[in-house]
Amino acid sequence: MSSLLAVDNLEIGYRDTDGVDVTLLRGISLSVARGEIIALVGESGCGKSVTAKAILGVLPDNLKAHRGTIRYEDRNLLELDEAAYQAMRGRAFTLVPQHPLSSLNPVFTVGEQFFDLIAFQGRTHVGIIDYWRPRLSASRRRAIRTRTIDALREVSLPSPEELVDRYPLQLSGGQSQRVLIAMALVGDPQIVIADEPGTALDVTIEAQINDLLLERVQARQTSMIYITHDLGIASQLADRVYVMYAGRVVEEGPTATVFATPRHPYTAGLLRAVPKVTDEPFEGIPGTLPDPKAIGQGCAFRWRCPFAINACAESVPPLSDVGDGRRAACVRATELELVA
Amino acid sequence: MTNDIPARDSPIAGGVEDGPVSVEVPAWRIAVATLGKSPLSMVGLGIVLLILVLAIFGPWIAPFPDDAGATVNFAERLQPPSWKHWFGTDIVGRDVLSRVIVGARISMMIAAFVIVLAVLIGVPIGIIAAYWGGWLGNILMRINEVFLAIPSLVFVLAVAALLGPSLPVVIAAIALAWWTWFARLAYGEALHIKEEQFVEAAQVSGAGGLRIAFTEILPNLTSVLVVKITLDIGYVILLGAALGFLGLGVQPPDPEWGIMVAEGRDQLPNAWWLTTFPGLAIFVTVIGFNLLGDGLNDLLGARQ
Repeated sequence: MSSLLAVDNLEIGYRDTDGVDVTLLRGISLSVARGEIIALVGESGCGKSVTAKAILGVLPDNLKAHRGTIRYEDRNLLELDEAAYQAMRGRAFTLVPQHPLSSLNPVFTVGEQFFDLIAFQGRTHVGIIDYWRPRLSASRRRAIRTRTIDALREVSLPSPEELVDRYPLQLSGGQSQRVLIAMALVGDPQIVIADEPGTALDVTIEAQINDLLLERVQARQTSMIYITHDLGIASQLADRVYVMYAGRVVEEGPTATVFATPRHPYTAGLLRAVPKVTDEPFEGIPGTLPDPKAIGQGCAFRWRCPFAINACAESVPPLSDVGDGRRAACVRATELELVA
Repeated sequence: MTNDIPARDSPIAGGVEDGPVSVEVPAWRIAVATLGKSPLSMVGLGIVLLILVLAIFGPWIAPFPDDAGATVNFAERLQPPSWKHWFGTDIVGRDVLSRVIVGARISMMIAAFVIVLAVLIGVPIGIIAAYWGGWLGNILMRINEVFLAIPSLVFVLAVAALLGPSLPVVIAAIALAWWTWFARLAYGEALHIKEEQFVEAAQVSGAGGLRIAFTEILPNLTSVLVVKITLDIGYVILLGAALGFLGLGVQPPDPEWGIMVAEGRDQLPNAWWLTTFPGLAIFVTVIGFNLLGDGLNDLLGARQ
């Protein structure tokens, strides 16, 4: 399958204050085909958001990519200069952020937030004269306003004609997230990266936001990378799922098969930790994520894994084919009978 | 797909609400209502408006507009306050009230030019230092600290003494000492605003560095800048008057308040009105801008 975006063996780390190099992403590989929806799942701190930031090219200054490639169409994004990267943001890939209420600039109305997106997205080095030109032309202003209202209508916001003139503090969380989805889609991006877009909202609104996102993305044949720790949402939305643990992909494959018959003990543990509507008590995974400095040689899950053997501490198991189009990174992947 | 929540009434929209659409109150009416709750800030606003009127229309309001210049009228020299000369007359017979009124323009001119220059220099430097950081930010802020380390009065005196005292030199000298405060303020504020989610949201939607710095971050500085500007106008007027008093600012016969205090000093204690009224003018103006600044601080601070 030809992929639109392919991350290959990406390693990202930082140097801590003692001068020790700490690796956060330890060789991530993933790919998204045109129109495909993938989910990155894993507990907090496993590197999902860092992966998203790396793709978008907005890693914090202290994080550096040591190894690997991020290939979009035919270009390695890690080698792009900032201007070329900037021209791609919002057009090639875009972000639906995690915190809707703080992701809108409080001093501008909704319409003003869209203005520069519509007028200048995809361009770099816009001069002051060019910056003012659309603002001074009544017809351009009208056209941009019309496009903004259309974009708001597409995300099912009520009375968009009034909403364009509202400030972010006058919107509810759900409305803000819809505005942000509309902003993300206004540049007609190829890939939408949604970083837990519903976690800041209550569950009913979260479900509506996810439905909306899925519907918009499918209508446009846009690819989506959906980041979440909620396996339920991942199973509803995604074609394929990547389970991440401590900076690595531990299992990947078609969502339905991975969740029905997990091949990695961590995936199985995550699935058992999902609260069920029955009386059956749910079990969590004992322990916490290991300190990235202390992982050392072997499998990062070995301390929490009920099936760990001596071989687990010796080397990192590679992500290898386990049948049904799936891959898992566990030395015992084929011998274990895991219960989801 | 249904709508999630009906349009929530805005926290800043007050007044009658029937139905889901709230009645929008214009921002200026909220400002007046909030400021009106604090009598002191209203006094400040009144003083500031009065000074502005005097600064603009002074020559038409003053009873003896010609006395603002170098006229001489020895027949009426050193007269105490009377119905004809409310603030008395000076050593060459000029009307002190007229000179105080016309003097408002000079003080306001110094303040306005200084503040505009200081904001234009300081704010971009502060924002750039904060947003780009690294070696550029370091260089800019270390230069800034060098300027901060020199007391502004000493610095301004040195520049004025070097270049010769005149209105443009006074303005340039004070502005050169003053931009550092705006750079410092903008730096601190921008440092925290650049970590906001909406800055990252702008970045991932394809906005460039300059656009983020000046159209995402700068507008969020407006309220602190407005307060700082209002408070600083008072201090700049004070500094300008101090320079005039020391003879290194605006030169006679211009009716600058500081010069008038200095000129009247020789006549103390007999002709007390020569120093008292220009001194009061300085005092009232500075107090006025301070009260207004405090009021604006409460007003704009409460909105965040």
